[in-house]
Amino acid sequence: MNETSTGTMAAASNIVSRDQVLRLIAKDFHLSRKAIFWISIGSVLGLILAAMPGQMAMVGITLILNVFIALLFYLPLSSVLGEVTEQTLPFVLSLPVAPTDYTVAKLLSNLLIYLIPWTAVAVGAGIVLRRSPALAQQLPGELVAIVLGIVFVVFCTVLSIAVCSRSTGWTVGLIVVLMVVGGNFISMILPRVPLMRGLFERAVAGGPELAIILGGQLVLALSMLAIAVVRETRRSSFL
Amino acid sequence: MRDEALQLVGPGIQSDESPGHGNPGHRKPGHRKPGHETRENLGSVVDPTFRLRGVEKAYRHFRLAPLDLELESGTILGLIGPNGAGKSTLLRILMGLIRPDAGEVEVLGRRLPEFGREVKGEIGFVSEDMRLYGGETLRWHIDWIRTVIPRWDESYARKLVERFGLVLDQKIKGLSHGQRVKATLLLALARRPRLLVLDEPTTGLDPIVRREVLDELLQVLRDESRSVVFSSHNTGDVERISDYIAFIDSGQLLESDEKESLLDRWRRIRVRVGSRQPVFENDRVTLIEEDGGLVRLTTGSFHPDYAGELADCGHEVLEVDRMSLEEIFLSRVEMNRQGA
Repeated sequence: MNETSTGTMAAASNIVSRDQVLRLIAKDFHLSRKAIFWISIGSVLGLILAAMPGQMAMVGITLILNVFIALLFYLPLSSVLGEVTEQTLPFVLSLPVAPTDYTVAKLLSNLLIYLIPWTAVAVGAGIVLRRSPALAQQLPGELVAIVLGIVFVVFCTVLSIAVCSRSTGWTVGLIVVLMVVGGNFISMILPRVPLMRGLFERAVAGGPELAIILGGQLVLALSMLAIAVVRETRRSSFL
Repeated sequence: MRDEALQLVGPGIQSDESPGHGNPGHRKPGHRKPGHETRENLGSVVDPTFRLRGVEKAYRHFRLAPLDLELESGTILGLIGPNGAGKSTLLRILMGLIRPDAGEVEVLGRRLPEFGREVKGEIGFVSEDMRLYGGETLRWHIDWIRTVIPRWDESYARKLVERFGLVLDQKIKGLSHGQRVKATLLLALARRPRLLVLDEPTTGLDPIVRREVLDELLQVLRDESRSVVFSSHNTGDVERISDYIAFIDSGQLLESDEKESLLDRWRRIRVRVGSRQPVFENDRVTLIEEDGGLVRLTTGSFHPDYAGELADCGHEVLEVDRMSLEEIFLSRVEMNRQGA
């Protein structure tokens, strides 16, 4: 084989195989089918309750938050780190899949599963707020969008760390740090910075700053996932 | 270290440590003994199953020394080494699961890691630390793997299910360790791989199941033209199944040869020492153990005239014993660790 053909084929081989990625995602969905079922039930039930008047709305919101928090732990620990701790990773990597196929599939499958309750909450919240102007005055849709954006960024960060570190300690530690330190930073420190406070207030009021914040969150989330892919392509030992 | 063995090659396998790689006592080509074919004599194996050249890998507490190794198509190589010797590292490099720090890896005619996906499509890999999805059945594993492996042989898989006495609809977590090993082997064999890489597949099995698994494996391999690399620290398993043997210890490839040639070359000789000196200034002696007036020599370079040569030196040869593969392996490792 000459150098040119070697180089061309090597380049071809490094590209992610869409077919293999889809097969790996299908596997992850199958293995997580029970979790997906209960996530869907929890999300729908939470939304129904949240749409009810009085105390039931609070029960519904609490249920949805619990689904989010549970998934924040469950998905990285079971789907990503589970492959390592259950020693199924050697089996998967013995198949004709490139490590990049595996990483991309793992990120996408977890992201898709997480987007089930996330989308349910986003859509449900939109419907509820549209029907309840009184509630919308207390809890503006823009604020809900920013909070959902933060949740999305946190999940992508945790997922990325789980994929890169393959360590339960690092992943759980990061979740705790993000929830405690990050949560307090966002709720207590950022509002004291005049620039951030102004940006946030204008965004919640429906100004163009909302697009900047949401765009920034999306870029940050995607960057986290990209870091995981780049890190994995540079890994020298896959087992 | 006397490492002419690193230069010794069988018709199908070659190994050496390249000069300049820091291997103490490396013998130059001119010092090789007559009768032993060398890399230079043989040239490179035509169309090898795999070819490693100057491959090395370093971790914080372990280093795989630069090594060259080739395997001819259709042969079975047994890789023997103690725990932590580097067997798994070597096999994972062959699978493209570990990228070496230096050197070239070519498997089934294609370079790794560039062609990892394509190469793995033609390799069956089973390792001791490999597990299947416990909550799923063997049938699910077969159905899923069939979508991933284009050359999956469904009828062969069904034959193996029967031969291995497995139940398709039983969940993996309900299987015994032996059955799990058989299930993993089935999933590797029914891919119809050109190269089968088995990393200590019999570890943890009781003697009965181990024999059963090896018998099945031999049965399966009998009519096949595929190449196999089989690693184990159990020399008995390797001796049963392999055409070629390679010893590895502390990240160094110590010796590799055709199994029969290896067994023919190694002898333990009991000698009553004569008065004439030098006693054993002979580069064929690898280990000397003294017991009063008797000396026990271990040699990895035995030939029919050897006893006569000792007698000519005034020594009385009392016994010449063949050595088991395990004894050879232990002697070779001891020699390596003594820096002989």
